[in-house]
Amino acid sequence: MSTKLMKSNPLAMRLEAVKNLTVDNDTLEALKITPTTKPRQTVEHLLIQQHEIFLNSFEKVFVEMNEMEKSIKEMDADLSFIKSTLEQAKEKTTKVVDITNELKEASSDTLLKQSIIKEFLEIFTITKRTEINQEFFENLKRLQQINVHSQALLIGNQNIGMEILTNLNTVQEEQYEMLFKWTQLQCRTLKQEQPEISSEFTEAMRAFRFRPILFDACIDEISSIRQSALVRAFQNALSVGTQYSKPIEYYAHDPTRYVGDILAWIHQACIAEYEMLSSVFGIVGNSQRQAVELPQVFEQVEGYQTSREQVLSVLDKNTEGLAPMLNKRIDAMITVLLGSIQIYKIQNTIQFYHQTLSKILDPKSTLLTSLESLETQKGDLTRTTIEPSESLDPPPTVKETMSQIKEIFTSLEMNMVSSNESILADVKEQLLYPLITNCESPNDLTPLDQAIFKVNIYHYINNVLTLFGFCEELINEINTKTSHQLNTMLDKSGLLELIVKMKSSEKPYSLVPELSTSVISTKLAKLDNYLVNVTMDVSETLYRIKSLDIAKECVKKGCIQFVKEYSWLVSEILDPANKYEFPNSLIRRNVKEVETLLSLD
Amino acid sequence: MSLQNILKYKTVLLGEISVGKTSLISRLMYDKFDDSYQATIGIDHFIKTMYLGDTTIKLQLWDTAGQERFRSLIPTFIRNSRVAIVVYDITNRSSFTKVNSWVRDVRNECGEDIKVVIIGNKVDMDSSRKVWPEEGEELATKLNAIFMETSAKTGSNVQAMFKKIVMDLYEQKVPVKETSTHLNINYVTTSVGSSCAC
Ligand SMILES: Nc1nc2c(ncn2[C@@H]2O[C@H](COP(=O)(O)OP(=O)(O)OP(=O)(O)O)[C@@H](O)[C@H]2O)c(=O)[nH]1
Ligand SMILES: [Mg+2]
Repeated sequence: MSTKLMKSNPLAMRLEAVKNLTVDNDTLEALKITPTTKPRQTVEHLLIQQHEIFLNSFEKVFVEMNEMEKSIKEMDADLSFIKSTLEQAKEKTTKVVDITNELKEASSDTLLKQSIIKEFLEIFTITKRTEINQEFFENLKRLQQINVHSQALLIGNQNIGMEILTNLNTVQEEQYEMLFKWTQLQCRTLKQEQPEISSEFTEAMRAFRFRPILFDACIDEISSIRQSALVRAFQNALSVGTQYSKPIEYYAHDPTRYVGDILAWIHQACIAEYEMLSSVFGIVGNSQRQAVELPQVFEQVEGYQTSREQVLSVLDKNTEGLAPMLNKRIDAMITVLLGSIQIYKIQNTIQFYHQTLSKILDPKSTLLTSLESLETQKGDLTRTTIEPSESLDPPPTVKETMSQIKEIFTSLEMNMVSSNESILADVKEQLLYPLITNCESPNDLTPLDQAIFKVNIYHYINNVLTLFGFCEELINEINTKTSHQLNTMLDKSGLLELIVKMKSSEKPYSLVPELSTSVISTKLAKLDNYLVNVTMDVSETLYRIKSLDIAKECVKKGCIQFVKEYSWLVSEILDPANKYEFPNSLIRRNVKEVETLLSLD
Repeated sequence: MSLQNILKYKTVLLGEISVGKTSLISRLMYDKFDDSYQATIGIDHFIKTMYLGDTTIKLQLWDTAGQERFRSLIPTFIRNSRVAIVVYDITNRSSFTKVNSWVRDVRNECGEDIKVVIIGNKVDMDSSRKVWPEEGEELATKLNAIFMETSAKTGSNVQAMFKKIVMDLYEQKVPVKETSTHLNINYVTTSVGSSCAC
């Protein structure tokens, strides 16, 4: 048995203890004390027997122990085998763990890729729609998004980006083409007088913002359809009418109504057209009252702007065709009415609608331009000649013209258009001044009769003008003219000739043939005769002045003027510089006497 | 949006100065009221869209000016209309007296083709009332017109009035359906406001 075992095995230790067992003397003594005579032998015998048994047993143990040792050795071997195996296994496990970790990483990588791909597909899958509806437009928007994303993709993944873009472009073009065809079909509905724009149509136009060529093509198509639709509608309104209203031309005999109806129709058509276009251009939220005053830019479709100008230019195009029609008719009406009061009423209406339409239309639009051209046509209202009558009364032409002016001014007082100034100026330029010029044109009347005739006309004019508050200036003008006529007395008396001649000649006047001493003498002799009869003469000639006030005024002013001029004449004759011989004898009446004769004091 | 079933009716509002024509429209269109007075210059234009079942009804409203100086423009707009709403102010007797001549103008232009509605407005000012509802009623019967009293200020009867007009027009156009009286009118507004100020 190995020492190793002896030391550590409890069994071995026990055996050792037994082997070394000694019986002490006390025990031996005790054993000797045993009453039996042969106990010692017995005991010794027993002891030997015991030892033998023990030895035998021990031998067995020993054998067993040997067996055991063998087994243990085997076990030991096994264990170290196990140990090495374990170590090997351990090594392998680490590898597995490593691999597992790697795999794990790979798997999450894969998952990420998967989700990326899923997302990628979500973003980049290109789909088509075959029906024009809300989904179509949403899809179209998505395609546009893909386009944007693919552009971004080009930076990192040129190939994929290119591939997608190529595909995408094909599909997008297909879809746009389909939409374009659909829109062209839809445009047919625009042939009606006042068409409705469907929300799909609006969406389509919005989509075309990304295809400006298609957008413009649609707008052109719309414009040309609307142009003829509006022309047709206008024609109908003019000559056919509706279930509820007679054609406009039915009232052509009433020019004011006719022109008013035409312009009201145009106004209404422009508003409806604007409303339609705001749907076409997708202008939203125009429910405000001020909607017509559009903001400069009311919508932005990712880079594309709808500006007021854009809408207005289309509106202009659509309504373009109406301009010549309207022009032709109103122009014809104006031509017919040239020279009559109604032209002013019509001008007033045209002006009103011009202002009204300026709020909707582009200032440079065809319609507004043609209204402007119509506005300026007032015509020459004074192609009439004035024939004085025996009574020197204002002739019918004057009365007629003034009644026209009266009507114009009455309508001015309740004018629809703010600027009276221009009409007032027109009336002056076109009616009043020509009238006065005509009055002043030469005729067969004697100067005095002519003067009276003019005064009568001025008086008549003034009577009309005083009815209106805004005519003060005109009245003053006419008054001045009236008083100018009053010095006709000078003429009648023969003095005027002398005075005029003197004022245009060089001193000394006596050397001027027409102002010679003898001429002066004869003229002044005649004057004396005139002055004696003057009171009678004045009342006789001036009774034809229609206004008594003016007649009186005329006499008074005339006399004052006369005296003034006479005293000037006297002073000139007395002036030695003029070298009249015996000037004092030439002057038969001094100034004071003349004044008395004219009963001016 | 279906393009079928769209009915359009032109409507003209008439009446003396300051009776509340513009206020009635602005109550209808924007559900708003303004105490301050701003005279209409010339003609204003509005479009009110209503839905009656699956029919879209567009009322084109022409708001005329009560001021004398614009009178010459009005006949044209009467002629083009299917409905004429003649408004008077219940606190202003003379605005009521003029109703007769307004309706006569309308009948002269359009005969019986046009639906005439007489409106006594400003019922919220009952304490200063000068025209009794019975008088309005009587006049309307005489003139073959619909009569209602409204207040643009409180909104009383305003929607109801336009609703009634629309229903009447609708029933004329389409044979009366059993359900027609239960139809819900939704008011959705779009408009092109055209202020024809000079
Ligand atoms: N208390 C009250 N005031 C009202 C009502 N309706 C209108 N008004 C007031 O009456 C005034 C005139 O109203 P408008 O609607 O401008 O009158 P209108 O008929 O359009 O006037 P014109 O455009 O000049 O013809 C304003 O000050 C309004 O506030 C109402 O129902 N009740
Ligand atoms: Mg108003």
